[in-house]
Amino acid sequence: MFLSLYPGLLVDFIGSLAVIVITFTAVRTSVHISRYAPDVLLFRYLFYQSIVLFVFAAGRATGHIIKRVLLLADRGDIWDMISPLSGGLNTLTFVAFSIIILMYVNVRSLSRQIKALIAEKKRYKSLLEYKTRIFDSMLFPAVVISEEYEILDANRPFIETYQGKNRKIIGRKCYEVTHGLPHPCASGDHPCVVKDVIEKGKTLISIHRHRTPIGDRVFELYTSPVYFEHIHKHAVIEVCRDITDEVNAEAERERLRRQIFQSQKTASLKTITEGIAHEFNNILVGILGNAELILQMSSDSRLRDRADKIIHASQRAEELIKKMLYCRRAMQSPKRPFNFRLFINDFYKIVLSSKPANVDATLRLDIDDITLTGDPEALNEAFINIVKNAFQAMPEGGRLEIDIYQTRKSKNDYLVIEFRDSGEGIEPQVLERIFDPFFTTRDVGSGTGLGLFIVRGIVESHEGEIEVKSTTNKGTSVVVYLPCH
Amino acid sequence: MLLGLCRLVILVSLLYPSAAFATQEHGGAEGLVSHELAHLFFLFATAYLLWKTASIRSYSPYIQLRRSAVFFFIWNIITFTTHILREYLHPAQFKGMLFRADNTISLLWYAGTILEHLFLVLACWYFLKTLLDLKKLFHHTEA
Repeated sequence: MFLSLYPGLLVDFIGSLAVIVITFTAVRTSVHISRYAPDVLLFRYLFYQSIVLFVFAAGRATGHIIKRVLLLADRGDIWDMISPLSGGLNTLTFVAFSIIILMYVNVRSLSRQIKALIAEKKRYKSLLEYKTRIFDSMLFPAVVISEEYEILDANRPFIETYQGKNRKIIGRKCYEVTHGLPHPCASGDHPCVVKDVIEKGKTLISIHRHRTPIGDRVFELYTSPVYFEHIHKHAVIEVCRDITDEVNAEAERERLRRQIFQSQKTASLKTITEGIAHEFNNILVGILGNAELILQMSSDSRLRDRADKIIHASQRAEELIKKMLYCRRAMQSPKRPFNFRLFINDFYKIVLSSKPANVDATLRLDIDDITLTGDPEALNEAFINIVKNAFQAMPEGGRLEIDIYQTRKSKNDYLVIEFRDSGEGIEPQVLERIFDPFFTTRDVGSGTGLGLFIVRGIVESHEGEIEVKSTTNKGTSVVVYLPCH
Repeated sequence: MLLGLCRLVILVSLLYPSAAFATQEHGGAEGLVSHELAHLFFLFATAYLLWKTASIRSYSPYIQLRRSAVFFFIWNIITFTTHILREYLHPAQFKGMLFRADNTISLLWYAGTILEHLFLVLACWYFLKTLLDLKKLFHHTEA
């Protein structure tokens, strides 16, 4: 009976191929398992066995290829020479495989070892879950930072606060994530406490301004030391309390307090000024009338000369009183609707015609046609006063920019007129008093100190606000807010 | 690369099917005896493994390992026998890709060369299953 050898050949190839694929997968899987528990002996044995099986399968297939190539080339003699090597390798792999089996079978309680390992893993997993849940349920963002400023762990609030789109946090440097810096914080207002906390071994509180995807926020940081005994590493845990709203509220409270104080002070000064002006005006009428009588009745030239001086001085005093009373008049002047665009264009013509040659002036109008209700003459007086001050602040020349735009402030729409000069600026202690009546930094006789006092009065009579910001030697910005009714 | 290698093996073998014996031969300098002794050692090792793990009933990776050992054991017996039977065959029984099976020994050898691969694949498969089960077990606890 003749039988075909093809079935055997086919099974040989399919089998060899399958064994190569299976053993190769076994090697990869055993490497993977060894990573879970590198100390477990059984896994190491299984890894060695996988290697031996793969060598057996691959060696066998290689032997077959060499054999067929040599027989094809009619070099059966070479195959006769090397076939013992192929067969020897085959034999060796059996022996190695068997030895490994005998080794791990003798390791007692292997299944118990694996079960214990799994139980330990489960316990670890549950502990990890417990810790993660506590960490994540914290109200404030918290982060664990290594001595090298590397973020080791972060809770969910921290990740939600700092993680932008596609940004990873764990493993990055803390200063990159919270400050967007390429190096640790070192400046005076942002001292890094990580090293200090580790060195002193106690909790430190600091205030930092952090960069978050929604903008800069102010945080109160509670930084405490942590020591990881199993890896002998020092680290810190930092709890970040967002105090931006508190800081802003405090700043707003302070601003309001100062505003109220300023309003009260202005109101008192206004009352006193107006009272004095009124009384002084009455006195002046008497002085001026009598001086004019002396001038008419006397023929003594010396006496007439004196009376003339009295009249001249009284007229100057009258001018001053007029100015003092102007504020009240401007405040009480009737308000009417007017086109602000036309008004500002006329005002700008005055600015251009009155500006010193060494000053550049620009006007940026970012508004549509707006009708304001107010006294355009009084506003013109106020704006001219501001511009005059700006010109005087730039004796060496400079730039005056007038920006006009609309904004929303405290749920109300405002028209903003911003005057920015590049002048010498105002000292902070002077800035506090610039709206006080009779306050002037100019020489005696060259200024009454009523200019900004009147400006403020006019703006406030329009239910507006005025803000002045200044940096010494850089310039001043006067911002007038007028409500758009 | 692996696939390319296998393709080459198949192509070369199908085009030039001369002296195509599925079971590896171990004659010449290597000696049949040493190889057969290795098979016996392997047989003993697998039997020992089966005996040592006989008490384990419900632990999945060990069950797969035991199955693998069973198939390695059978494969060893078949291969061991096939190697001996090959010694009783005459070169004249092979004519190209035809084999003249005129007695029980020839028939047994013919069956052995085909069956041994089947059991080897099964043994390796259950060995891989052992590892996959262990991996699954750890992966489950990690997840």
